[in-house]
Amino acid sequence: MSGDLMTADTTTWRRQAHLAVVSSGERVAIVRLTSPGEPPRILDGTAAAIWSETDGGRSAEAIVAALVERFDGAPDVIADEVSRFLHRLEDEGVLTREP
Amino acid sequence: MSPDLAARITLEEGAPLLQAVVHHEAEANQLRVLAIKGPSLAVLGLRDPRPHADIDVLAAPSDLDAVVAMMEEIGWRRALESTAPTLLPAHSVNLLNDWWPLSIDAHHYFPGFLAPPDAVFEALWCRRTTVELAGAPVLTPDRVAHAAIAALHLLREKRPETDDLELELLVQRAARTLSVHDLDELVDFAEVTGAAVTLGPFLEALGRPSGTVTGPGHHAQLASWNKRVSSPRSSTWIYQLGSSPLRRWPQLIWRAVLLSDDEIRTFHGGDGESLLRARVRRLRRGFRSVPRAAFDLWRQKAREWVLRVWRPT
Repeated sequence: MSGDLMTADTTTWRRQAHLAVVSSGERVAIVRLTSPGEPPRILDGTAAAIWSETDGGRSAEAIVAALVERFDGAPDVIADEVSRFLHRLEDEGVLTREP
Repeated sequence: MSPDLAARITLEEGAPLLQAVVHHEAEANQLRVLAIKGPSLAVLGLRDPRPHADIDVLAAPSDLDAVVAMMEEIGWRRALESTAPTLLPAHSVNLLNDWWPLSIDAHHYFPGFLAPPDAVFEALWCRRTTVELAGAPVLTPDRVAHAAIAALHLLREKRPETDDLELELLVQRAARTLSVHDLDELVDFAEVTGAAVTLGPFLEALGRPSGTVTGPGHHAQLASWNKRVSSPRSSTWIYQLGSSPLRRWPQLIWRAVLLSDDEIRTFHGGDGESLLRARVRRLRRGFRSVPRAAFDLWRQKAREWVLRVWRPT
């Protein structure tokens, strides 16, 4: 994804309410308190890094920019992967987005 | 996702997450539950954080069945219950879930508080506070009440090789974090909950006097408590023999020696230890405790005999 596209993506990603979250280094363990029968969700490595950038609600553009700083790789590739992962976490009910 | 993947949760992660789950569910179901010991104790500054193989929650006695049902609704199940005799009445229900590497001990009372369980829970509920575990609110007894709970646990489960040190560390933490006013409240709390004597060593270490037994029925409970804290757990079989008619002895001895595989695995197995090895270790420990327990039992019987035979008029 180019810099123009990144700028265009102003979607704001926020963590859902009612989550229990334990972060330790490069691991994050999450439980949706509204679905307590589900197994805990574990994120590690880059998944945990993406999660850490969603604290407080941030735009996709800001999340990608922060990750480009932290990881090697072409910005457009990182942007694609981040976008896919953010949508997956939305499907799993731990993130929500505001256009 | 399979349970194997969920097993990737570590004990460090599991305890605060699970306390948050129990609190959220209890609140949603309007049940009164307090997180006790474990990560709450660390948040309150009474212990360093460490991994836990289980979490402990104390339910209002009248809510316990509903709390167990609530957890069963979300996939938890009752663990196998030990058939081994105990010196103190059963105080908790153990719950398991294949997704989680740790269990839940749901208590309806806490040993060492000799007042009626309802009264103890109300006293603890009055002293509840909110701590944050896994980023979520969790209700727990405050520092004063939690110091009492932690001390009773250490005094009851005392293992000579480690728990003297643990109790000493708890005393140091309590002395550092509790104000003079808090210490006065601790003494009052111990009186109200019938723990003034059972907490004696802890109170004295903090420079406060231990109390006396005051409540009805407390003497008998205190005798069981004293027997429990002064005896290795394995000696309970000897006490069971002592209080049973001779004709029941063969059956009891058979059970003591040969617990079921499930019981050995659940209550006596170490990490990766074979069943045979766990059995041998348990028996060795049991045999070591026989002389002391037999002596205690003989002394108790002799005292009962003297009291029966020699009645001054």
